[in-house]
Amino acid sequence: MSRRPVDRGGCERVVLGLVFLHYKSNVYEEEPFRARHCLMDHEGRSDWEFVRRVQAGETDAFETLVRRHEKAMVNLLYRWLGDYDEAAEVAQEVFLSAYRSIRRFRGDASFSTWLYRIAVNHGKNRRKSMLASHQRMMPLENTDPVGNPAQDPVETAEKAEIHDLVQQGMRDLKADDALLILLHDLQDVSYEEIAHILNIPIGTVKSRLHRARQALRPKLAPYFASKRGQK
Amino acid sequence: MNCDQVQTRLSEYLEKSLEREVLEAVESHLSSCPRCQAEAEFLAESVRSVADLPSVEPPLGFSQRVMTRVREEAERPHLWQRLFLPTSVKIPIHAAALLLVGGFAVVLYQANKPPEMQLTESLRVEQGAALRQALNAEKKEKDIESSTSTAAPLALSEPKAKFADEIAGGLKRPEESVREDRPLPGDRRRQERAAKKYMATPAHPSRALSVRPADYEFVLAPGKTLGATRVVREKLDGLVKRVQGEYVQTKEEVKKKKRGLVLEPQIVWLTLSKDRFEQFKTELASLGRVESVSRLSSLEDRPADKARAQLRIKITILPPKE
Repeated sequence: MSRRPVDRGGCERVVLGLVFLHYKSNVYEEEPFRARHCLMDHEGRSDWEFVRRVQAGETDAFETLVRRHEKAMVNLLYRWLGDYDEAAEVAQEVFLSAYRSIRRFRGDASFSTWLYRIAVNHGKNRRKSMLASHQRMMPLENTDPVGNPAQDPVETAEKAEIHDLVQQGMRDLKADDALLILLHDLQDVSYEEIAHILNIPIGTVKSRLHRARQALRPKLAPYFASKRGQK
Repeated sequence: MNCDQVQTRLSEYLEKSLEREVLEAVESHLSSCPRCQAEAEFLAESVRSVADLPSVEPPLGFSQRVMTRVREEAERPHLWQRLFLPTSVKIPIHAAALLLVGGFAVVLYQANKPPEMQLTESLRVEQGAALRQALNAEKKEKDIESSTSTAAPLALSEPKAKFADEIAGGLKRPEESVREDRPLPGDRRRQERAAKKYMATPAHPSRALSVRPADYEFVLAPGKTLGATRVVREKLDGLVKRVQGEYVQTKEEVKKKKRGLVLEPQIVWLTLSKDRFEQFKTELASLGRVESVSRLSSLEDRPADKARAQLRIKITILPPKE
């Protein structure tokens, strides 16, 4: 049974620190959230370890954190903003911003949650300005990986069509709805972590995700209807 | 469970996060309701289509680019370092800037001092001068008594000349008028002339006010209504005409009067012949309640005032009370 992480106040920290000294192993076992969500390398070193090293002044340790999370950040932002170059640029800003404020990161949530939170803030602003400037938010044709050449060309074309439709749907949805769908269905982020990223209760995450999926439904309906018709 | 209830639970059903009892209820409904079943399939397909979106790779050299910027950031001095280092250069610069700003603020304050303060200051200066003059006069009288010098007439006329000189100096800065010593005998006549001219027709009313305060000050409380104030103002105009007084008004005051701003106290300055003063005072009392009368400058103490035929009068008409 995992315990929901809480934002601990100063007093609670002191008490927990004392308990930690006496029952070190027990308390460590009661902190599954951080342990579970931190990526480990082949030597078993967690994000937290690298964060501490950066905080201690070892700038190069930040590179490991960038390499671990760059793909997730670029993918989320690419699907959310609909533009690969913009996504790469925003992702760069996200990492830079994370570096600037890494001293404030205390490990209350996982590093990825914290990074997602920064990405959401940056992405939201960029999405707003992109929509305001009527920029077309379409995926670049040559950016999406081309399917296996050995695959059936018809199947490949069908996949490309549904990908385009989904991307189009993401553009048309509200920013928060699109973000919820992408975080949960594309990035496989748990409800618990989404609740932390967006700072809303888990129940709200669930209900809003369901609503967002229903909002996406009509965008994809023609494709699925025609597919069934063919069958 | 009906269709609506099932459809709100479909997301959780697809994620298999429903409790056993609810799960069974949803499953039994789906097996009997083709519409909800189609809905569930549809939702599953759209979730799958999002999950199937191919992942993209970050641009080549992404992490290196990020790290280049991160290292630049790490090497850049902090804000406080940029502001205060090297201290030997920047601290004096900051101090000089602070002094400059402070000095500028003081100059600005002096330049924009409210007229009331200027009036008080000039009053203080005049009182100081009058006191000094009185002491001088006393000293001179003693001198006259103790000796039978030929300089006696000069000594007798000394206070008057000095005060005239002081008024002439009123156009300059007040400090200068205090600091000024006895005028040279040759200049005295010219200064007296200048003083008389100045008293008779002030070059500019506002400047005149800042130099010399009112001889008499009245505060009138006309009544409770807006109309009463207006009536009193009109009657006052008539009274001033009857006693052959003259308004001393700045352009702003004239404008205000035209606009009929009666909700704030109205201040009226006028000059009046000394022999008409008693008549004016009596008739003013009949216009409305005179709340207070104060005499700001002392007529008896100052020889120059004795000689002056015109009185300077300030009337404050209070706004109607609620």
